[in-house]
Amino acid sequence: MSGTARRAESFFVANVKCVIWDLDNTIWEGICLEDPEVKIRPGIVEVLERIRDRGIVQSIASKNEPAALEFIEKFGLQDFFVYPQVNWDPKEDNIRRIAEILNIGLDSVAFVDDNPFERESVAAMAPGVRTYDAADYIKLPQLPEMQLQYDTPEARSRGRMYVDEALRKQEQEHQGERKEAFLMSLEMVATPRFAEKDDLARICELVTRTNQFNSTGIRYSDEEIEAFFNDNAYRFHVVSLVDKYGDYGRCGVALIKDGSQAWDLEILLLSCRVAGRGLGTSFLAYLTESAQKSGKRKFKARYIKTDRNRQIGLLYKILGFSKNRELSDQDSSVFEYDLEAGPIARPEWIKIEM
Amino acid sequence: MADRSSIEEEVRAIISGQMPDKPDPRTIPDDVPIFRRGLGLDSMSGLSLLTAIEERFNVYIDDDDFDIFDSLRQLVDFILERSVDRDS
Repeated sequence: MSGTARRAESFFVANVKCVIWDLDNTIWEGICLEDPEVKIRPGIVEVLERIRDRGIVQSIASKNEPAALEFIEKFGLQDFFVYPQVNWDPKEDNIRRIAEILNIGLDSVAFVDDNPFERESVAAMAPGVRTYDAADYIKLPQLPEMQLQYDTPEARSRGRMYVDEALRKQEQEHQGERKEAFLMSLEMVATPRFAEKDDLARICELVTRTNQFNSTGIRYSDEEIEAFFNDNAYRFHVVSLVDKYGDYGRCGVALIKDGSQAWDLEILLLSCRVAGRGLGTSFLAYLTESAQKSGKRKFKARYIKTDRNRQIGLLYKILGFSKNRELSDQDSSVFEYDLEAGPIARPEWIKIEM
Repeated sequence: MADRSSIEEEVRAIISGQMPDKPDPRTIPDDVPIFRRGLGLDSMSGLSLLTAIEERFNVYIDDDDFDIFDSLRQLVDFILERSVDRDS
């Protein structure tokens, strides 16, 4: 299968994960603070619904007084949008803020505005953001980058998950600096297990969507993933996460190649929505425990650096892996963990259920 | 060019800020690993420490350089060697 490996950079065809809307002359016709009788654009609700049902999150960046948000409620649109930014800051700043909160890259963001100045300014100052003229709003759901690639429960409920995330962030601010206390308070339960046939669509989806916590950046095709699944030398593992605010569903994937002395971790992926919780460490704890139980002496992890996944290489280093210089070259590294020293320790704030 | 002691002072402050109990930066030993059993920083602090160091000292830390986290001293050595244009 290694013959199918390709350079990571060449196939970042990011789908849109978030559509950010302007308000005046975009969601409605006219300027709401000048004309209290503004009317919403015909068909806009259907457009918002169709985009939502593709698992794409929607938000707002509007140069306006906060009172403009009252119009969103007046039209009953408030449930479509998370983290609306209504203020006088440059739109690119608001867009960066939203992308940061959602923990997604700018190249996963679409921005819709009637004003060519705003679109150009965003395109120049927030590179990667795709901009769309509000006049074309009806066509948006038909664009290839707005399609639901994988019909999974996780994809369809993505919008709700971001609302759960907003609640978590509030709690975190409430807890202040005590990160561990906050993580304990989430009551996280991770369930790692061998993948089944039913997990294939979700595995393909994570392979396609994950950028930051992706150990190789390789966009395997659905056929390649299925070939791994049917190959007896390989086993997929998935991990689900639940906390007191909600269910993340299946948010991590590992592909293990079973060798006589070692387990080779060929792919490690975690959804960006669970970043910063220690789930990567939990998952690796479970994987190294399992490798040890299977009588292996080494656990090797393949790592291909991309422009966004340095945190995986760093995680391996932090957890006590060392780079195997013989197996590494300029394009691809192998980090090795010695199982004789015991498996990786589980973070105490995530309960692992098997 | 910046001198070693002022860089070290700043690195100590950055590391202390990442540690759960925020100790007096001057008491942090300079010869133990920064992560895990050394100073006890966990994997979630890793990335923020890395980016804080990169931004403050205008350096790029490649995955081949991760051994610099084996001690505060090595980290300061690395910054002294690589820091190109240090503003203050």
